[in-house]
Amino acid sequence: MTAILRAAILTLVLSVPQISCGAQGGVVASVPDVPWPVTTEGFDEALVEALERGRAGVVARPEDGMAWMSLGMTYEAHSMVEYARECYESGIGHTADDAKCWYRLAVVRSKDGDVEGALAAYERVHALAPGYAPAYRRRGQFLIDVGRPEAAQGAFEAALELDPRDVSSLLGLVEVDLECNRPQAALDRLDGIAQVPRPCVGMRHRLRGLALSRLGRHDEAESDLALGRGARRAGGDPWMRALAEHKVGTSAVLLRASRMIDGGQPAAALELLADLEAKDPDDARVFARKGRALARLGRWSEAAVSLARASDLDRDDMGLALAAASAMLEVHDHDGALQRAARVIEIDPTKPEGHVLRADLLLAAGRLDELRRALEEASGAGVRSADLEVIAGKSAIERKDTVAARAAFQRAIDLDPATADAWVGKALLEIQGGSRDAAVQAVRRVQELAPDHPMRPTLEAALAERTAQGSAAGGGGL
Amino acid sequence: MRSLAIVAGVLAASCGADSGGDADAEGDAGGPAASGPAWFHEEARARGIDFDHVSGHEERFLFPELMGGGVALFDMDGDGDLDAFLVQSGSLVKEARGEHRLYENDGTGRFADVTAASGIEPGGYGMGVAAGDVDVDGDVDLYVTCVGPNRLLANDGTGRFEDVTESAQVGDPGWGTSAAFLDHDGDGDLDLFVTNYIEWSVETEKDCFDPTGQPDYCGPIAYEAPARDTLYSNDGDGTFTDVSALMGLDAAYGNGLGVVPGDFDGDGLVDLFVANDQTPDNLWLRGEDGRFCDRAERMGCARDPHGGVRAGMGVDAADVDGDDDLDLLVVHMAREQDGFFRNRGATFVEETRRVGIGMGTYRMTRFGVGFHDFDADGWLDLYVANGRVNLMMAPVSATDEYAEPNSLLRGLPDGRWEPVEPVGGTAEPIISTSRGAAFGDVDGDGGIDVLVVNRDGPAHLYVNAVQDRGHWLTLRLVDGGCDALGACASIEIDGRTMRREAKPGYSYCSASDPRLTFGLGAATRVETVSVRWLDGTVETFGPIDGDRAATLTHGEGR
Repeated sequence: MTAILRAAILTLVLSVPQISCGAQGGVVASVPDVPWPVTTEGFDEALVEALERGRAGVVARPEDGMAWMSLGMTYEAHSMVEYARECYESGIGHTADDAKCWYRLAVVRSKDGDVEGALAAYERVHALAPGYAPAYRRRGQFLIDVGRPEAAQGAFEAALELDPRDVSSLLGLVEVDLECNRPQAALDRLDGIAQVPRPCVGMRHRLRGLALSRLGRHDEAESDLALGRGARRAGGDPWMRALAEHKVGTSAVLLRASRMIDGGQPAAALELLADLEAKDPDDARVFARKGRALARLGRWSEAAVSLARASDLDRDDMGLALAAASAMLEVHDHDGALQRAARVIEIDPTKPEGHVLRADLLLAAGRLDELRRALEEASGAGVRSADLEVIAGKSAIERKDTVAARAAFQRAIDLDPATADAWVGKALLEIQGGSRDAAVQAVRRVQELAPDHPMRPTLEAALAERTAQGSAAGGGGL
Repeated sequence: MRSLAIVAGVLAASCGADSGGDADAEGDAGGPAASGPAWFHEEARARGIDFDHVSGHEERFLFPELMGGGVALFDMDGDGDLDAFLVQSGSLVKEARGEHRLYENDGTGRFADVTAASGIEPGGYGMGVAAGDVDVDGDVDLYVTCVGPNRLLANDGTGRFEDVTESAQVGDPGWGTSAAFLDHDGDGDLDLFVTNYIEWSVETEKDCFDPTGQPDYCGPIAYEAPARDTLYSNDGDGTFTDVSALMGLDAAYGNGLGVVPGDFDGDGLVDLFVANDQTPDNLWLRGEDGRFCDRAERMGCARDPHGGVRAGMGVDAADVDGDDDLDLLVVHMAREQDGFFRNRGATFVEETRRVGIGMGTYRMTRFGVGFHDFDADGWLDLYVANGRVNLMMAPVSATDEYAEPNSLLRGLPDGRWEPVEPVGGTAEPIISTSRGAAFGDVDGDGGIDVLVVNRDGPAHLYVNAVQDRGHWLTLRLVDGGCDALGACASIEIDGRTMRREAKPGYSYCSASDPRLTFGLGAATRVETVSVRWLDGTVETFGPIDGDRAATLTHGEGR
């Protein structure tokens, strides 16, 4: 990947929002028996308002289990699991027959690592809502996570009895097979799944790769493992999606998602963004952040899809188009990246980024005629860029036109003397051409500008070899 | 207090009005301290170790403040007992430089501060330490990793140290974390592997926030700047050469925090496993050309079961199942399961959930870690030093929002582990923000003790107090007058094979005693000890009576 592409993805992935913490919530006096942060200083204003509303509801109607549940869901929606748990447990004291409340409690106890507590809550869910299949599936997944695959198998089978088409539960059974060291059974089961919905595709690849690997079929496993890298269990459910209603405003959630991504919690950010996506599937901001989170997790193919979607929704954003192209390059989708490069140029033909991206891709693909036309187009648009000149130099080398190459590298150096790649090109040409002083100077510049440049050892070795040959030949060479 | 309220959450299940009659639903792996005898007594100060770690945190959240420090248990003066070196961090913005401390053991497990006479000058923002005899003069030298240039302290054999970083050319300028000595080229002297975390400086520090919007420390990927690790090859003349690129170690790198050397593929050459924080882990195996090649992805130990990355921090490798290969444990942060990878020869299979570690440590953020047979019953137990790195969970301590108890898991005959109660193995839970942990028998009673550094708090020495501990045998493997790092010894008790490696470098930012301690259970004697030396030769020794320490020297076996 070229420097410009790296820069594009870094811009996208690393950008830290200029946030203000909003109006400070100030120190709120704690209310007995209602879980409340010691301070909400620094919280989002909208979050503080939502929490205060929830607390007021509980204070006004402490015997109302739903009021507790509402406050609990606001806490849960903002990753304050312990407070959510306390609220649900208090609420259940007043609404012991509410399956949804038990479900929420099961989920937060799971997140809290309370194995037996979570399982007991799931049992109550099943007793109160025996037809709610997702609860069995979720319990099965939790049982796998806590090392009880045999029990998980029963949960998945119960889910499938209620909903035989639930691929997530079928994949759960595959996980059970793998946990129980039955890789061939896992493979057979995977092959028996006729249609895999898109959200489950990554997981299917991952599980297939693991099964093949455990059968010693490592070469076959590699592509599946690569395709399934970073896959997550799919399968949301209506009761889980209800949590989205408790996340405060879109902007606040987006801000929080950005903070989570920057703070190293991209998976948690994805959970937040999934709800926003469900609410508004045409919000470019959501897809842009989702792409960033996925990129952070190394799930590049999904990142590329999200970023492309964001770029399609916000066609004037050059950064998004570049980021989408970068993600596409990570998954070797060169044609897709080329299309995005064209979009970047379309947005502003006078900016070098799109031209450089397109030229770099064409060079990598060996499409030299198209590259020549692209460079001419850039020149025609008045774009002058050291990166473009480097690409021009490289293409000239491909055409064995060392004169043009030397000129291009020199132009790049004139435009930006710190362009290490230009010095690399110049060094190569000077070594080949036998110009000792120029070669030494160029190699030195590479050493100074980019001591870790991958070509540096090659250049140094070539220079040394030529020097040695020159000495052996009586000083005729370098 | 900037954050969430104190909730009696982690240690005591909170639950007000619970659950319609589910009183028995509470209690779990990380649950309340319960009955059961203590495994350890915390005796650092009582035994003379009065070290207090200082992160230097003031107002701004500077990432390195969260990650130090380390500790070494090593024999500095060749008297056969374990002395202690504790790494100080200091300040990233002021002149206060890490004032590391050296403590001499009097042979009974009582320590005296000998820093002043040691010649060890304060310096650098300290992170971790590695211990090994780099100049083959029969004493153990120290390598201190820092945020900024690391330092090599050469020991003269009496506990006096000289900073030889410059002449040895090992002052890696990055943010060093864990380091380990190993003989990667089999030339009989120790080379040095330094794990680097990220490219960082005060000037490039970022502002990060917790989910509620409050300022907090960033995670490593906020910086998108993983740093390359460094392998220094010992030239044998007091200097080292950076051979990282030459040996192929520039092919992949992540946010490195932990490292453990070992022969993971059984080819007789020392490999390396590097635990990376939110980037895939690396398993550097030796290729046919002698260079290292990262095989973690292919062998199945780079990622979690779903192919995602986790926050790899501390790491240990041990043959936990007696099948003559090294299994791996990488520990992670709260709400991520650890990664226990069983070595199946051509591949690793993650069995964290199956062996009971998954939920056993799930609630904690784990750093220092070691497999040791603390109760000497013949099954490796697991000790983990814990301490949070963000404010995502309700605090356990009123004074330290990052503090939490350590974890102790007992190894069971069925190959599983279960949490020991009381939590952490002490009569009362000790709540600190723990980082580095070093393991060794400081009082010579055959029980493995643990010395832990706690961020912005006093160090803790957990002295083994297991009641009815089994019989034991401690072996020092010596080759050429030095500890034979990388060699391993196997014994057989009741038809079961146990193998242990001579390795000081594992855990997190720490160096442990390289001697091997076997728990013998009821057995009082070992008939045969089989030692595989680093040159591939195998010798047998014995019989050896238990409940003693013995030295086995290369060339003196059968």
